[in-house]
Amino acid sequence: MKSSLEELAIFGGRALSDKILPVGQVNLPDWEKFQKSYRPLLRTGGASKVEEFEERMSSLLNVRHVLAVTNATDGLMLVCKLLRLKGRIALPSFTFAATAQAPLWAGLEPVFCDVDKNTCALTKQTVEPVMKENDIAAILGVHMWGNACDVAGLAELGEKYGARVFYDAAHAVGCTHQGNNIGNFGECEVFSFHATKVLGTTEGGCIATNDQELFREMKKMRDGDSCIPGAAPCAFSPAQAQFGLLSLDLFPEIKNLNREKLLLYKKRISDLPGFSMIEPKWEEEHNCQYAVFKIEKEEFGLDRDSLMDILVREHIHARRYFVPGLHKSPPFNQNGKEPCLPVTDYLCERVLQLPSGANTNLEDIDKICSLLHFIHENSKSIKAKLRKD
Amino acid sequence: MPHISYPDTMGHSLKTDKFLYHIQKSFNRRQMTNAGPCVVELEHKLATMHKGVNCLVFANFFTGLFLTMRYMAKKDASGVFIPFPWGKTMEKAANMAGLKPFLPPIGANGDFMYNEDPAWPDETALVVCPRPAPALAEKYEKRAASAGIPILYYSAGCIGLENRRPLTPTASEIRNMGDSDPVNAWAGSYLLTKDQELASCLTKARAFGFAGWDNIEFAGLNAKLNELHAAMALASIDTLDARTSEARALWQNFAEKLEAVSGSRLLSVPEESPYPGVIVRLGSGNAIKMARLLQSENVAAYPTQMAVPGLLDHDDAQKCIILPFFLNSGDIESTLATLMKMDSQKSADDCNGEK
Repeated sequence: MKSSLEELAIFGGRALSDKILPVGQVNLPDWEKFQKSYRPLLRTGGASKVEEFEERMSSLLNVRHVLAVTNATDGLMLVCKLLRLKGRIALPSFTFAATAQAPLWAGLEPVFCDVDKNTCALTKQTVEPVMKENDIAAILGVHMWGNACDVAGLAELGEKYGARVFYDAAHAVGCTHQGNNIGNFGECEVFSFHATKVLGTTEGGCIATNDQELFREMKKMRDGDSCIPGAAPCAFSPAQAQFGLLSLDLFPEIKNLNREKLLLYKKRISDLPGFSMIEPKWEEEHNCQYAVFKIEKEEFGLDRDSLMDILVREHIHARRYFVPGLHKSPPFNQNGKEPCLPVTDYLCERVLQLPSGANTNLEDIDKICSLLHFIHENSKSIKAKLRKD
Repeated sequence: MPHISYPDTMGHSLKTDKFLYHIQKSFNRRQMTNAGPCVVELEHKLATMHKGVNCLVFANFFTGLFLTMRYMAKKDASGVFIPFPWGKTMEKAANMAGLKPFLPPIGANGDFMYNEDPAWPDETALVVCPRPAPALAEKYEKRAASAGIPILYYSAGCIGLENRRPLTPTASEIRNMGDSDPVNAWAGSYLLTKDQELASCLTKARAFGFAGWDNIEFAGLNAKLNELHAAMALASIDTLDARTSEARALWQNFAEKLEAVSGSRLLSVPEESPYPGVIVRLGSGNAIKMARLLQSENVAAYPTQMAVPGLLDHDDAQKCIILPFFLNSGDIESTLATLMKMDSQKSADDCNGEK
């Protein structure tokens, strides 16, 4: 552990970790199992693997239909086309770029809403002002870091203003809201299987719905058989499906391990001033994939960006989420009418994700937390030395 | 009849070993996407195979196509001329990219411009078409260069044929890496271009437009090829020669046996071709019906229907069906038997009809 400022890597000391600790990293299956399952797949083509994966996902999400697609961005684009949306779509600015880029490519105009300070997600209160002022065709909610947004409130708004409601559930595989699986809300929900997600297919995604007609049409679109204008084919390969099947076998174990990691973070930072965890809903089923924190610079002693610079030099590859908010990013910031989103701006300045992926074990987390305490305790001298250097 | 819906299984044991060899590199690095080791190697290998042009791989063909079209056309709502009336995929991609597609009308006889260079609308900012015959390509490229308009060729099984006409600075080419293409990545595509600025723009565009960790420069999306698919494409390239010679032998075998089906023949293939498909020109009968009948026997056949500028004229296109090329000897026999059965049934139907 560090005992003096000079031992910090940013001041020339040795990095805390010998290995790089990224925020998330792919949960790889055992190599022997991988080889064993891919040999027959390559021999036969594995045509049935995609359906097998979809069926297992459908049972995990407890939803009637699941359609696997190339990636979640393609899934969101497909839904925008499938619902024949035109005009404007309400969505959060505090989200990953794909949430707004997909509707944009599908010909829609994103209208950004603010989010709740605690859940970091849309609520009825944050969306309604936008609904009143604009002719909104749809609401796209995001279950940020696996915590559901205000699904009841958004459904109410959809009803009241005649807008379709669907969700970006990229972070939310295996999570529930009031005991119901995410995947069952709105008209459909789009999940991501990107390599850094709790359940990976290297790249990939799926759309979950209970609407059989919608499912039939989306399947046609995915496979290039749809007559909906602009329908883009976005197939999921047997190779992705096989990887997904292996990941599904690992899923329960990873979920438990993730929970242990987040609980350790929570315990170790509980007495760290200005450093608070955006907690998963512990009472729900939760994948606990994201270790996300808010930093109040006055109390912690350093601002989020300076802290991140120090951590990265220690091989702790912390990430800022999301900087800047989408309403301040190209191409959305170019119409000269930047919306006023105070909570989004507040979060964009403070949120930091710390490592919790496959490459990070409990011992690493313990070390990271000790380092955070050291940085806080020495924040004044660190700030002074950073200014001097 | 065997199910031949996933044709690329020829030489599978060698290919499997190669696939596992490549994907192990990604396992060792624990990197399964975001320009992992297989994607980097694949792009390098394809660029070398194509004499050092820039090469970029994409997650699937359609995404690669519309993203490339959008950034080649440079501006929203630019006009895209598609000198190919059957270019529905290109038209769809232009719409997805927010561009305005223009397709020439099909003439009364189905002819339009096989060997001609049609008038380009004034709004044209980009020309997209299948790679035409060399003489026509030369015409297009000269005209495009003088007008400062880029051309995007859209092709699939052209590996080995690029020496017939190398790319010029204004002409780029996008190729499919679908599961029945010579470079098979299960799904994917690759762009070949000499335009450095375009390559650099699309490198960002395929990863959400990010330039660095946080900063988005412009609208992109997720068009990244994953490592599984890249490893498969590398395995395909490693085994391309073996695959081509086996396909050539099967093609010749098929051609000889097809003589028994009255009036039908295989369309000739250039010597350097990778034999990406078996195209049968039927002596008689309707290609669409024949393809449907073969499909009902689980042979993945489909009618060509579309003429290809300078390569396949409209009349021939209506009489041709494409068969899977990875037919082993047993499959060849049974496919031929089906063709003969259909052919004789058709003759009998014709006689009955006359009565």
